Amino acid sequence: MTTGASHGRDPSVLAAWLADQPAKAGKTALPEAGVLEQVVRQVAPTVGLEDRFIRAARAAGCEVHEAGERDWPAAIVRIVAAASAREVIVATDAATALDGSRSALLCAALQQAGQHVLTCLSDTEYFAAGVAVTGVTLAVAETGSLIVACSGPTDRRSSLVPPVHVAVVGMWQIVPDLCDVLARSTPAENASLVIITGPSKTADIEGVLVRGVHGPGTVHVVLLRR
Amino acid sequence: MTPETASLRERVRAAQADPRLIAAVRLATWRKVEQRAAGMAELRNPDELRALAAQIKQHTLENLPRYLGQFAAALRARGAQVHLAADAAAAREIIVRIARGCGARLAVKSKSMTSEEIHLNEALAAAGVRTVETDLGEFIVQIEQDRPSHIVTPIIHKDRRQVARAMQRELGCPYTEDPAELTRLARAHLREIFRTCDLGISGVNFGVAESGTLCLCTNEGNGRMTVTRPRVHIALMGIEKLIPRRIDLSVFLKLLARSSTGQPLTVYTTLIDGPRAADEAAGPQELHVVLLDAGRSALLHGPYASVLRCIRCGACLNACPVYRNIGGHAYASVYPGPIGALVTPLLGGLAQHPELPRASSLCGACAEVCPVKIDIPELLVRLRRDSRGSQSVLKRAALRVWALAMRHESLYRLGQRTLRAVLVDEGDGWATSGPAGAAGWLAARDLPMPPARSFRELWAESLSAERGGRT
Repeated sequence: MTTGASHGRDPSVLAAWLADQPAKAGKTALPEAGVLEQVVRQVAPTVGLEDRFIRAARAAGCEVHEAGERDWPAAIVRIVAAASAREVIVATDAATALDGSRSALLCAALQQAGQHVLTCLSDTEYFAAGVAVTGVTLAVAETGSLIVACSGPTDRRSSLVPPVHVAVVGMWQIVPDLCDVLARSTPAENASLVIITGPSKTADIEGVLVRGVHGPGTVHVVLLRR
Repeated sequence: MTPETASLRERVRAAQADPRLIAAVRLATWRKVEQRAAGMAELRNPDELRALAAQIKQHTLENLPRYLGQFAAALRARGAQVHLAADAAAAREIIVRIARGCGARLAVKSKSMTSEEIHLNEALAAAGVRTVETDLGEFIVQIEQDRPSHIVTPIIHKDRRQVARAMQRELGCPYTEDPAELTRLARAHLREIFRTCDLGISGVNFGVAESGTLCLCTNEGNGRMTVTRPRVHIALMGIEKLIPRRIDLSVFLKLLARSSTGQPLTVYTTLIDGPRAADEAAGPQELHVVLLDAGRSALLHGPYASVLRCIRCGACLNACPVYRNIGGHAYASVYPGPIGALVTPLLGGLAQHPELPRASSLCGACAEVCPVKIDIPELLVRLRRDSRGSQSVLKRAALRVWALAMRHESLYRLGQRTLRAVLVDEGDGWATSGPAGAAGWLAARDLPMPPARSFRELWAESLSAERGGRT
């Protein structure tokens, strides 16, 4: 994956720079990972994580809907209708709660409600869709965040391009604290992982908060009870 | 825009002559101060986290070459290309070369102060690459050919009328002052650009040495678009942005957004591990990381190394009474505020920026809020000592006289009587002028006129009266 003849120079530029640096022993120690985690952790593994997650997600600006295995497809059909969206992307990913069987149920419910599920997903479709429904890898109670590991099945664009993002989250996917996410993912299995905390926003103009800049302006979390 | 050749004093005067600007900066910074306080109060142990963050950064800086070597190796193992730029010119050259090599015509940028530091946009434009800033504030700065005045919220100095005029002129859209509508217009315009761009340039908030991970913290989604849409992604990273392990990220992520805006996290925290995976249909096919030195390594083993801990949260700017009353442009630097008063001369040369370390009352508000515990006032004093050579002869002489008087009582008493005689007020009890340039010095200081009789004289009299009464 080289771009030009001069590229070959670069590794040796860095090597030369590194060789040039004085070799001095540092006196400040690096905190041991276990010790660090004890200090950093804000939320312990405990009961009531779902309530904590719901509160934090709402505080971050998400709309949270609790549902059971029977009624969650209907909940999403309602969300899509309320968003006046005609074209919906459904991202099927066995590594999330939106696996093959749940995805099939959802697509059937959407089609029955007259909503169009996009299947051939080119760039045009991502920009045309009004809503994208995806699963998540994890959810974080501390901050109300959704962890989306991007891969073949979960395209980077699905939680970014369409203006409404619906995340199907299983209650069993909630971890207490951000450090639980970071401790788990080494070495990295995915080329890209996004920690999403609420809808996109800016306050650049006179400090007035505006939602929906380039990422989705509305984020719905459909929380599945087991 | 204030000219670079004007002195700090002139730039401050120009800022103070714009009450609308000062009102806007005051409002915005006070709001951020409150938001930060509320955000940090949500943590059960904020000071422990800050101490931990300071320790991790200090350790990393003390062992930087080792971690940089580890970082580069991990990046290459994931298929990214790594380049080291010794200075700004080398960084521009590397980035322009990559852009040419991939035939880029349209580049998108997410907010990167490091790219402003190296004046990247001009170099790309000269190479025929149209470069569009996509962060809303930076986009406005770009179309106004202005400069950012805050490292987190670039157009803190602009009001909605100015933004409305700029957007109407640039996009030809109907005039509107509504921030939501203005944002929608910018979104539509930039969305088209995101669809067709071929090069994305971003900064890096944190680089993780053990895994070669790039961490980007953003709110709008333009950062994600920038690192996802184009075929080629260039990440420009100051060498001091490194941290050792992924678990260390948890400390900094919990502090960064809270210190900046009070949020628990920025809306999007993106962790990038190489270019797109084999089974992905989106994401860059080429990832280049350009490591920038530009004066940083020279500080590593000296007394100023701790300034390299900075995570660019902006909390010191928001807390600083000087920044709050003069705004960012008065610093005439990419990095304004307390941290700017340090890094600008330290990276750019003390001879070029001798006045900035003096743009401070040393109140210490910045040190209290710094998430990585940089002792900014202490370092400012040290820099002032180092820049003594640039002080005016008159000031140096005056300070010597003062020091002498403070060490000799008779001179001190003489000085008191002299001051009474030479200071002049306008009848309101506050000294406004005196001999030899005192008027200039007094213009920015509130010095009450000395009383007719000094405390020492009164004390001596009443004591002798008592003694007289008793004997």
